[in-house]
Amino acid sequence: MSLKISFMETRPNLLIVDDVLTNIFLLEVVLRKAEVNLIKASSGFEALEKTQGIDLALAIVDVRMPRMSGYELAVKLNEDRLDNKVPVIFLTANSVDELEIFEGYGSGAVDYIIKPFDSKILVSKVNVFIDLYNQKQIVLRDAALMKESALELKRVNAALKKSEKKYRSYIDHAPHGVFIADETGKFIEVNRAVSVITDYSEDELLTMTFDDLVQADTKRGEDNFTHLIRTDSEELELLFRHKSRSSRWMSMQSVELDKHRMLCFIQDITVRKHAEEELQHSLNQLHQLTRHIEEVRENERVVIARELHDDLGQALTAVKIDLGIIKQKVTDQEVILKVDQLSELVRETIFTVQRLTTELRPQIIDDLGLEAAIEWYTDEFARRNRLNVYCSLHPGISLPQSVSLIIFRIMQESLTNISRYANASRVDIELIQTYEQIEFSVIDNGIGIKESEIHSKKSFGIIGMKERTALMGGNFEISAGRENGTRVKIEIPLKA
Amino acid sequence: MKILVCDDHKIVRDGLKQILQQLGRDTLICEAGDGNQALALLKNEHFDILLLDISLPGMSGMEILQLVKVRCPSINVLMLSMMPQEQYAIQSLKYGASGYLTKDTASEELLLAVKKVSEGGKYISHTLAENLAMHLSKHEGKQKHELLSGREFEIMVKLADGKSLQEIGNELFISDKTVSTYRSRIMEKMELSKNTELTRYCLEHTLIK
Repeated sequence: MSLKISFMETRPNLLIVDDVLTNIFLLEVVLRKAEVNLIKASSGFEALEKTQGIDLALAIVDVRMPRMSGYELAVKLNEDRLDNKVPVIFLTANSVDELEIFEGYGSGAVDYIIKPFDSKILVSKVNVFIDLYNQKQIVLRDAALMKESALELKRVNAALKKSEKKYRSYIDHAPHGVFIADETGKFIEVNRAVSVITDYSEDELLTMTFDDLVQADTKRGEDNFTHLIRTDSEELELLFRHKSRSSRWMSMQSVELDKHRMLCFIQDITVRKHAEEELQHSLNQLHQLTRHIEEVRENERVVIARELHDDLGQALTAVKIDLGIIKQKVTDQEVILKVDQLSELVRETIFTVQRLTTELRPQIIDDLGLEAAIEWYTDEFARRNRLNVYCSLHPGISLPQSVSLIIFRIMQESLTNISRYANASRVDIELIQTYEQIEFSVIDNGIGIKESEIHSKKSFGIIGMKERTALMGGNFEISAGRENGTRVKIEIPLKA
Repeated sequence: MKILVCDDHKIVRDGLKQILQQLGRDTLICEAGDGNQALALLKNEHFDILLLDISLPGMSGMEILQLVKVRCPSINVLMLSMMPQEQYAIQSLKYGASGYLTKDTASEELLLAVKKVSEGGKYISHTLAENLAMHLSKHEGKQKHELLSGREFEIMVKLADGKSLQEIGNELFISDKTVSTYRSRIMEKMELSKNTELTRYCLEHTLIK
């Protein structure tokens, strides 16, 4: 910077050397108008001393001087100035032989001015050299600036390299796989984690493409790599090939760096994925188990109901009949009384057996159909709980026995819930058959059910209803009823 | 008089036979263990009365009843069942049975029932008769529209309001065919046949304005 300022503010130095003071004075007058800084010396020694370390644009030197001639001075002056030789104009008397001129040029002379000189010529010659000098200075300055810029560039490059190295090491040590791929899926850069994850070395990876690494079946259709990562800005879950072991699940996110490069981050989620799969698996098993239990329970009920009805019920009926016959054959009033008591007891027991049987398995569904079964059950329910039940049943509905039974059981469960919790005064039951499905709803006008109660762990009844419906490929939902109450609705598809 | 007893339990058949024999010497009693046996016997012989259990292996008593009434319409069928529900009795009578007895009935009642039925009358178990009466009177004292379910009532008001099946279906997210089904059920319960009658009813009961 200092160099630059010196150019701007100081005038070029012009050295005048003559042992005759009058000549110096004369030159000074002549060069008065030139924009230069005059350095005057009356001898070669003085000149050398005064210009020590000073840049000179031009020297005007008298050739004949005692002790050190102008030529000698010119040689000495330029001895240490290797790159910026000072041009020298020699002042000489009129008689100059050619040899002398030759010597002069050899010592750095650029021109001769013969005394007495024409001041205009001298000034214009001086101006030429000053211009030359100034131009040279500009060139020098530009060169210096360029040099400085070059140095700056070098420093920046070094810093850049250092920082690149730093970030490179961050990426290299990152626990997640980071790679850059081009639009054909070819890997351009990979970090260490990618190698660790896939067991392929960095060199191997750089010869491969994304398609080589990702197992085809996890990619959607025939989508290529570019399409896959460009259309999905969200996280993708892909199965990555492992060189030596089984494949690993990766979650991948990608960023488009430019038209031809994608920056991708991958994370090994195999453990999580397996845990998810296991969870799903055990959930499925749980569903299956629940359904199995439901079926087993239903079947067991049928068996127990049948045994109760067939064995116990019929035996009791026979006992009742026989008691009647005995009664007719005896005359002892005490015995008759006893038989009557026994008959009554048996009658009540038959009643109990009927009730148990019906609770276990409502035979009425098989004998009279769902409509009659619902009518009977809701009548009983309305009577027991002192509320009104309104049925709107699709007339002449004909359903497979299994579907009828599930609808009936769900109605039972719903009504039990209503009597226990709902505090309702009215229940509407609807059974609708459309072309493709059966819709069954139980709606009450009670206090309603909270979302938390629907999902409560204790709502096994609701879970049971859900599973029963699912068993038929149907849909089950609990929602708010018409007023404040609850609506239980199932939809079961009719198989063609 | 020829009586056929159809029950799958021999012990019950024996008991019934013993009771029925009290009807006199001219009473002939035959047995069948299931529906097929009964139908085979009925094909070849004439019986006056069929005593039919409802819970039977294979064909149920209700199914046998329907077949029997088609093949031998003149026979009087007396249903015998452990089922206490009045729906059985109603359905049995609809299918042409002459009587319905629950198995807790006393033997005197059985004899009474057989006599009554053989004379062409109808008989319903004493205990069941009470239930039946209650069943039939459960809607007593109620306005007709009070018998409708919530959804039926909703649709009736819309129909009375002059809305088309299509419009109602759109409003309730159900097909117009379903609305049509609802409509016929409403008309049945209301004992009406035209939408205009529905509108008049609703206006009279200020269900619409």
